[in-house]
Amino acid sequence: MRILAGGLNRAWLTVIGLVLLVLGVGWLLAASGLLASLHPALDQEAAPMRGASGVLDQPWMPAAMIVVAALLILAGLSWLVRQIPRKRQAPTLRFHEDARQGVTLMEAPVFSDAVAHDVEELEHVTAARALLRGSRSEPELVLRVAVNERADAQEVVDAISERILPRAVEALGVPFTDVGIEIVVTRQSRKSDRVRVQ
Amino acid sequence: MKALRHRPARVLPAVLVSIVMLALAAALLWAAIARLATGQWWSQLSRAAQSVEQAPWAAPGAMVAAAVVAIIGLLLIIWALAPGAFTTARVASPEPEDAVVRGGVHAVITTGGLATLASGAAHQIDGVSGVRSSATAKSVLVSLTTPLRSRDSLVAEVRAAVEERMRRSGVFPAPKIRVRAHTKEMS
Repeated sequence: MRILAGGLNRAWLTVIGLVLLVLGVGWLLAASGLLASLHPALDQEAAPMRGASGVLDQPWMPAAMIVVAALLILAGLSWLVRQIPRKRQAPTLRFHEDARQGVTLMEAPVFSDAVAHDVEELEHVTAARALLRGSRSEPELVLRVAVNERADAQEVVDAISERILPRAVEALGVPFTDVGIEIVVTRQSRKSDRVRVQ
Repeated sequence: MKALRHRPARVLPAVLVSIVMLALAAALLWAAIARLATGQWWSQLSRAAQSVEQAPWAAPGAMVAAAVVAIIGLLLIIWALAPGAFTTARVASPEPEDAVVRGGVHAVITTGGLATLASGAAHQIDGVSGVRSSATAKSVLVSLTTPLRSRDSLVAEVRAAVEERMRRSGVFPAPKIRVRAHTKEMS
């Protein structure tokens, strides 16, 4: 129901994996002597890190390390933040045509919560969540419906299509562009109800 | 409505790699700040730089490190390029009226849901004492225990029940049902 950064993850994992693979295999090829004919520095007895202490003693080294660390922090944090699933919920729904003659607004969760509540009234449904995406004129509905194990998924889908969606469209005033229904089966047989004894 | 039927997003390797990047950045930052504050590098860092200076390409430690780096790289590439199994299966949905949905109604059921449905169907068959199921979008594996010594007819009955359950649930394409039965004496 929520959107994950699958494409971004796969792209960055490929890039980082390729860099590590080339470095590792390159070093092993040099160590085996296969690259010795290309350059004397690639001879297997050559010391590739010669002068490491000298580079470390350069006055610009701490600044360079701070810059590299800052870039790594930026990249790492932004990648980590992108792992948070996104809802891409619709903004406030605007029902009016001309604001000079009056304004009618509704927050998208008000509509989606009402639809979810409607779905929860269906037989065998134990819980439901709805999410409205797009806009009031181009609405897209995503439903996540938990049913008990005695339910037939297709029956629930049919009931949503025939009874819930027409009512939702009536409330919204325009047809949905697309509707997605994700069925989850749970062993829980009852809806959770609260009873308050006073 | 592509997001409904998706392959694994590879969140775990992405989180692991980004945490490694942050740890590396913290180490670099700490070393640089210590150098600026005290005027000298950590003794371990200086010693490490001196010891690697003379190491050839073929130094055993360096070759092991290179092999580890290459293997990690290969694993990341496999993680990135292997598509992974779908986490949901399609469910047949009716063609909606244009006045209700202009595009289409796309319905899916989670593979965990398929397994639960299969277990539920198998559990209703007489002679089944325990059931565990697992599922992908293409196949469902039902492992059951029974006190019966002759299991062939029970396996056929359970398979038919699970197939009927999948058919009634509108799962398509119909998953392949495999049933394994083990005899377990009731105490």
